[in-house]
Amino acid sequence: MTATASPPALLSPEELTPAVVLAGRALAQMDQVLLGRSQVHRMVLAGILSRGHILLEGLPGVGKTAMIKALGQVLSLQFRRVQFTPDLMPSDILGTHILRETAGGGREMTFQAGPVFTNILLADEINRASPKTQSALLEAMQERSVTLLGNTRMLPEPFFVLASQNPIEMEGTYPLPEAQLDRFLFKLTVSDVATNILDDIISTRRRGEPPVPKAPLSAAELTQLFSAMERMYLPRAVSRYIARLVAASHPGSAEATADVATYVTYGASPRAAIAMAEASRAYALLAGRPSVGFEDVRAVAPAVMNHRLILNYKARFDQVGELAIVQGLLDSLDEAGLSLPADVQLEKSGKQGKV
Amino acid sequence: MHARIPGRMLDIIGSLPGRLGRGPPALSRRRVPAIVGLRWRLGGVLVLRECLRLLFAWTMLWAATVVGLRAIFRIDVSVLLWGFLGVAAAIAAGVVLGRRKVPSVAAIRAVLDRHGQLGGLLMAAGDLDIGPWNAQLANLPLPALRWRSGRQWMLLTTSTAFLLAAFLAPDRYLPAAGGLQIGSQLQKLAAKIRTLRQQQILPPEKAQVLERDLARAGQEALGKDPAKTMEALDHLEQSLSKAATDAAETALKQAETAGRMQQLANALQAAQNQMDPKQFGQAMKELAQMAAKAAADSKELETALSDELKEACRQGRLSESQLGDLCKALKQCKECERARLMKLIDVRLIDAAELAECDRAGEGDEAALIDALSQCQNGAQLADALALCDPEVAGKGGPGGGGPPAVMTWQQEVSKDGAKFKEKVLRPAAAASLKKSRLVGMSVGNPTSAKPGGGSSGGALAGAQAGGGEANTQLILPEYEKTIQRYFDRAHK
Repeated sequence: MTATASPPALLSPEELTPAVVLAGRALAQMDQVLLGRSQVHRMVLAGILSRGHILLEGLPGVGKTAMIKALGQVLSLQFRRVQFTPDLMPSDILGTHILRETAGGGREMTFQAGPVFTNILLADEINRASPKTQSALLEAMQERSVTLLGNTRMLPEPFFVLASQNPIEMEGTYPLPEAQLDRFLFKLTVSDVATNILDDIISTRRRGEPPVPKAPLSAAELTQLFSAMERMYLPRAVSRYIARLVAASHPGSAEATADVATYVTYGASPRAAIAMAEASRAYALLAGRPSVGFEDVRAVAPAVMNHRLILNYKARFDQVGELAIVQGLLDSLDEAGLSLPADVQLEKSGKQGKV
Repeated sequence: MHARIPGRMLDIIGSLPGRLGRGPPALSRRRVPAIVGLRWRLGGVLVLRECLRLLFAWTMLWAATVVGLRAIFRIDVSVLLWGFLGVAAAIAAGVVLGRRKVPSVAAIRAVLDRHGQLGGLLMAAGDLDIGPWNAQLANLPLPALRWRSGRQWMLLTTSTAFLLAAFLAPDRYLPAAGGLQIGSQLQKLAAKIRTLRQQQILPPEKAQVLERDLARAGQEALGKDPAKTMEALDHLEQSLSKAATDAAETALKQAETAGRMQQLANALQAAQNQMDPKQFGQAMKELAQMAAKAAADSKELETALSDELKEACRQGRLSESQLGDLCKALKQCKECERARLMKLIDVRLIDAAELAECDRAGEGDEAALIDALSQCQNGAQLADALALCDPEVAGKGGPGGGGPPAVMTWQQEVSKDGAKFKEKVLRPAAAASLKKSRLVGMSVGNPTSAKPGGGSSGGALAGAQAGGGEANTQLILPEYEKTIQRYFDRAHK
């Protein structure tokens, strides 16, 4: 994530509209490629605009890989795929030094770049590799660079890791290390599609092959989208709400809910707050607004926080999931932080006032 | 990920370059009527809510204090009215606390933004110029402010009722923590004093002193030392009873006198035509003298008698026409005495039997008196006839009721002056027995022999009273001590 100078004023409608149109075009093409996944596509695009890595979880065959491939095509970015297996080694991802003969007949160690040197890396079934191999991605995901034998090589810009993983309950999977989980902006769950969607897929696509996107975004258009993202305005009240939300996910917090106190061992990290702020900006851009509202935070909070909460054994006994806890936090916290007494409430009315 | 979130999470987010790096945003670039209006309404509700809360707390505390102080220290209610200053303080504190809870303009903006689903535009408008986006904020949906104040008002009403009850409750209903519940006794005694003062039995100065004593006894009444209070109340009660009894005795005596004179006056009216004129005149003179003497002793009779009648009585020249007036005055006097006794009975200073005695006062055999007066031919017979209605003349005594009436005379009065008494120290047992004894009467008659079974008649216990413990205190003369000692030291066989 690069920093630019702060904009002097809010994005004007003239500046915002092209970006919104571009984002809408990308979303529409993704919806054409994968049917019935509009909300997931929106979240994935929000993650890309936030320059974050995304973890997709779902059973094999639900379309995770296809979605990521389609994203690469729509955004006209270089795309590589690594199928993670238990015997995959870190060098299989990052690259390695090989001994080559030079023209003069001598020998030298030459770096052979791995598949990580791309714009979009699809880490398919990431949790089938050993933790050692999974950890090979830590530096790449955080610093966007690879260091081997003392040499640091920068990865192409932009760089995203879009990983898919099978549910942890499946045989032959390793849980991702917490440090790596925390580096993913979102964890999105890809569920089964509805019957009518399946019917559409079967009836409209031969062998299920998706159509090729007809109007992918160019590099300039992608840059235009990222520029608009830089000028999205985050009001102070919203940033405070994000901070309170993340702080409340810790059991010892004053605003923690009963579920948090009971089931959570460790809450979300400061990285989660930063990720939520970025993702909220992207979500507001996709909604066609120049500033972030509370509803944007509420929309992205479950995807940002659900893989960052470490639950205790009691949660497993009571079958309480991370999403339920996050939803409880969203329901209990007052966005504006008014702290009104319980008997004083602001309710909806039909009245309107002048500004 | 597992690190605890530091308290300055906001600063971390704010430090992101190019995001929040615009310096501290101004709370409000311009005053928005909708925001200001909502803030005022919210502030009003919060201030009122705090005031109600604090007023409830204060009134409860105040009421409890009133009850406590009234019950323990008997503090006057008027002093406790200073608690009204606390009401003002509670309201002032409520205003301060309520104002502190009023949300900031930025928070109100956030609320309105959320309520109107404006996506942060209204909040952004508070921080920077949003330019053409202002058009989207033209009509701002306003939330309705709801305050469920029923509970607060109910609590305040309850506490106020408690406070009123604490102030208005009579002393006798207050718990006596450490004090004696003698409120009813104090009230009864106060009523007795008031009655005695109204009936002029007690002089006002004396009544005032007694009332002060009564109030002090009530204030100093302590549960841990009730004997002192009860003793004081008993003493007061006895004083009042004695004064009332004396007054009742006087009233009975005067009623008796008035009744007798009324009877004589009636008899003279009835026997006027049959009587010897001379004897009638003498009887009228006697009656006038009796009335004059009675008027001197009785204020009521003196008030009832007209000046003319009083003068006639004083001069002993009562006319036949004045007899009726005298009868009326005597009757009025008797009724006054009866009313006085009634009031004393009402406050239970005297027994109700006194009223019956008053009603019977002066009753006699009027027919016999008329008959005796009609047959009077000389002074002696007139004196005998008049003696029938003279209370100081004893009745016909002697066996069979015969014999002339005789005045009881007290002659050769015995005085203890000059008499010699032998002092004797009583033995402890005898002294204790004497203390336990009760005086039932005194007699000046000759000693009589003890009845059989009263005391021992012989042996070592000769003359000893049963239960007196005297068997253990038998006197042994010195010359017999050795002999008796030998008796007890003899060998047992």
